[in-house]
Amino acid sequence: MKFSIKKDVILKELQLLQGIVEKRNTMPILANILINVSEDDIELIGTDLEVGIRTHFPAMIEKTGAITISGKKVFEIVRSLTEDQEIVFTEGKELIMEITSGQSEFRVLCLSKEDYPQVPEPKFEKGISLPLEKVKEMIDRVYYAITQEQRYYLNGALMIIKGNIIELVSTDGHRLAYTSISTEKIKLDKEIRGIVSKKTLSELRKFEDDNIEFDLDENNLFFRVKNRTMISRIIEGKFPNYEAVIPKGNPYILSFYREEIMDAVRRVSLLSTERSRGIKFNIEKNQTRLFSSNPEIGEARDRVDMEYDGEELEIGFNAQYLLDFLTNVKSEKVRFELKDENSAVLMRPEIEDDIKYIYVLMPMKI
Amino acid sequence: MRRRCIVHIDIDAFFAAVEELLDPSLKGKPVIVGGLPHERGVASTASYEARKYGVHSGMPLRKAYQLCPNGVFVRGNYQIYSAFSKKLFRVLSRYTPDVEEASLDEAYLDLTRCRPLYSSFFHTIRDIKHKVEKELGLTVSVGVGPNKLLAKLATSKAKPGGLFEVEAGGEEKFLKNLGIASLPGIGPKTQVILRMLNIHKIGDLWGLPRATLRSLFGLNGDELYLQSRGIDSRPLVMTSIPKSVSRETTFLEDIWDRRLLLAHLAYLCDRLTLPLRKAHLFAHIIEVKVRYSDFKTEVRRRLLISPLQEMGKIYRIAQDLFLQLFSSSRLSLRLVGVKASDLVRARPLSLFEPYSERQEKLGFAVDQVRGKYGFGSLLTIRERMLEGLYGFEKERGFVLKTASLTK
Repeated sequence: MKFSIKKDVILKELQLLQGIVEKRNTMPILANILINVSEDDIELIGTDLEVGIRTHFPAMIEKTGAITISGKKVFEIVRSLTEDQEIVFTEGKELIMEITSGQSEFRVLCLSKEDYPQVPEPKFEKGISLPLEKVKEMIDRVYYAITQEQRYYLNGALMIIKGNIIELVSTDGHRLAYTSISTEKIKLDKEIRGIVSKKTLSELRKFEDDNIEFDLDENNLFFRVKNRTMISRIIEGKFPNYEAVIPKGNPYILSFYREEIMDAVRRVSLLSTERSRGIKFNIEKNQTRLFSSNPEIGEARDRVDMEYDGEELEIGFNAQYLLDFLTNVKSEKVRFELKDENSAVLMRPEIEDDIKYIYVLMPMKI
Repeated sequence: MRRRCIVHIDIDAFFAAVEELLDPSLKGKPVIVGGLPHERGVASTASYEARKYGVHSGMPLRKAYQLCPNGVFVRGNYQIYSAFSKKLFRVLSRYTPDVEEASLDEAYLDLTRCRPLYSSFFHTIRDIKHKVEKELGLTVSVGVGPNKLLAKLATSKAKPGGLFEVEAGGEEKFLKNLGIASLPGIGPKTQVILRMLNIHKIGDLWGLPRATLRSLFGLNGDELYLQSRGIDSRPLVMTSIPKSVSRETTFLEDIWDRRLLLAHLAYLCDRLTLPLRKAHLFAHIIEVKVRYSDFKTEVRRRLLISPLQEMGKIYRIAQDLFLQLFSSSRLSLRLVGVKASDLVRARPLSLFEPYSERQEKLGFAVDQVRGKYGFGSLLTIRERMLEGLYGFEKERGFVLKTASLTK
C-alpha cells in the first residue's frame, strides 16, 4: 500500500474516528482503525463493535492494500505535521506503516487486517432521507435524558419508525423526553423499533451537511452523510412502556413565558442542595412562587406571574431537569400540565413546530 | 481577624462512667465496656482504673481480659448512653446555637458569636462544665482555644476532669513540647518517617520548611505545617445530614443458618431506617457487609436510581445483596451489617414505579406505636426469630452487641 494525501483532508476523517475507537483496552484491535486502499479511493473504518464509522476520500494512490493502525497514534502524528505538506503513507515489510512528510519520518507497528472485525456495508436502498439539522434538533431534545446508568436498556434512545413518522424517546426513570417528525412516506414492511446508543447520537451530532440518509438491517441502523457512513448496532433490550407514563388529561394547566420561568429556576437553583437540586413551586392564583433552601448555605425565593385560576398546588422539582427542558424548547411560551404533587407533569411548547416535543417530569418530594 | 473562642468538651470514659453511675458498686473498679471477656469484639470504653492496666478502647476483649483479669466487663447499653448524650447536647445548646456533635460524648462549641451575651468567657465555660457535670452526673474535660485543633489538644491536657485554656500568645509554649502523635494529621506511618528524622515533639516540626513537608507527605505536608503551628480554620460542622447510617453486629457465635442470618439482617435494617425517617433522609446506596468465620470481610452495594427510606424495600435489597455474598461461600459468618449512604433530603419520584404514600406513612405509624409502647412492641415475624438468642426488652427490642461511639 502506498498513497499520499494533504494533511487537512485526512486529519478531518481521523478526528471523526477518534470518537469511535475503543479507549478501554478490552480488545487491542479495536483501538486500531482499518485503512483500505483501493484503486478508486481510501476507506477508513473504526468500530467499537457497537458503533462504527466508514469514511471514503480520494488520494494519490500508488499501490493498493489494507492494514490496521492505532487510531490514536496516527491521528496524533498527522496532527503534529506541518500544514500544507503532502503526507506519504507506505506499508513496509512485516506490518509496519511508514508515514513521511517533509523532514519527518515515522514507522508505526500495525496489526493485520485479517483480525479486524467485519463492519457491515449498507446499500441505502430504502431511500429514506431527512434534513440533518432536524435530526440534530431531535437528538438535542432527547439526549440529556439518557442516563449513564448501567441499566442496559436505558443507555440509549428508543427509535420508532412507523408510517411516515420517526420518533425518538429517552428516559432515565425520573423524566422522559419524546420527539417526533413526519417525513415523506417511507417504504417499510413493518414498524421499526430499536434502541440507539448514546454514543451513536453524540457522533451523529458531529456530522455536517444538508441531508442524512437512513437505512437498516436486522441488527444495525445505518446513517450516511456525504462520504461518511455510521453503523450503529441496535441495542437489544426492553425499553420501558413509555406510552403508559405520558399523562393524559392532567387538569391544571400553567402557561409560562419560557425565558421568565427559565431564569427564575436558574436563580433559585443556586441555593438548592448540590446533590438533589430540589426546588419548590408554590402555584397560586396568577402566580408561581419558587423556593429553595440548603441548610449549609441559605435560601432563595422568586416569583413568576402567569395566568392561572385552578387549585393551589405545592410541588417540588429537580431544577436541572426543568432546565434541560426549558433550554431545549424553542417556543416563546411553555405549558405545564399538572395533576398533583405526586404525579407526572407534562411539559411542552405552547405552539408546536414541525418537530413535536413532549417532556414528562416526575416531581420531587422535598 | 477576631480571635475565635472554641470550646471542646469530652465526657471522661463515657460508657464506663455511665455504668458506674447506674451501679455505684463499680466505682473505683476497672470497668470495661464492650462485652464479656469470653465474647468476641473489642472494648469500646475502659474506665481510668482499667487504663492503668493498659486496656484502651479498640482493644480485643480477650486481650483486655489478659491484661486485666479482675476487671468488670459489661456489654453496655446503647439506648442509655444515647439518652445521656442527648442530655449533654441539650445543656450545651442553652449556651450557644453553634454546637458541633463530634460524637456521642464529644462536642465543640463556638462562643465567638455570643460574645455580647457573656461578660467573661472563662466564667461561662466554667459554668458550662459545672452545669453539665451536675445535670449528667458525669465528669467532663474541657479545652479552650482559638480553633478546634487547639481546643481539642487543650482537652487532652485537661483530662481527666480538668479545664485548660490555650491563651492568646501562649500557643507556641503550649504546642512546643507535645508529642507529634497528638496532632490529628499524624498517623502511624507519618510518625515513623518523622521519628527517623529525629522529630518527636511538635516543636521539632517547626524547623522543617513547608516545601520539605510537602515533598515528604504531599498535601498532608501542608496540613502538617499549619497544624504544628496551631493554625486551623475549620468551621464547626453543624449540618445534620450524616454521610451514612449503618448498623452491624458481631454474633455471639458464628452463624451458618441462613434464616437466622436473614433475621439479623431484617432487624438491622429495621434499626437502620429509624434514624433515616427521623432525619427525613433517603439513601441512594445500600451496602451489605459480612465477615466470614475466617475473618475475610466482604461488602456488596447497590446504587439506586430512586433513593429509599422504607424498611421493607431496603430489606429486600439488603437480602438480595446478602444472598449474593452468602451463597458464594460455604463459610459461616461472624458479622453482618447494613449501611445506607449517599443520603438526600429530597426524593425524586420514579416514572415507572408508582409512588405510594402508604409505605412511607406506615414507617411513621410504626414509629409512633414504638414511641409509645417501646421498640419491641412491633416486630416482623422474621425479626422475632431472634427471640431466645438475645435478651429482649420491650423498650429497646433485642439487645445485640454494643454500639460504637460514632454517630
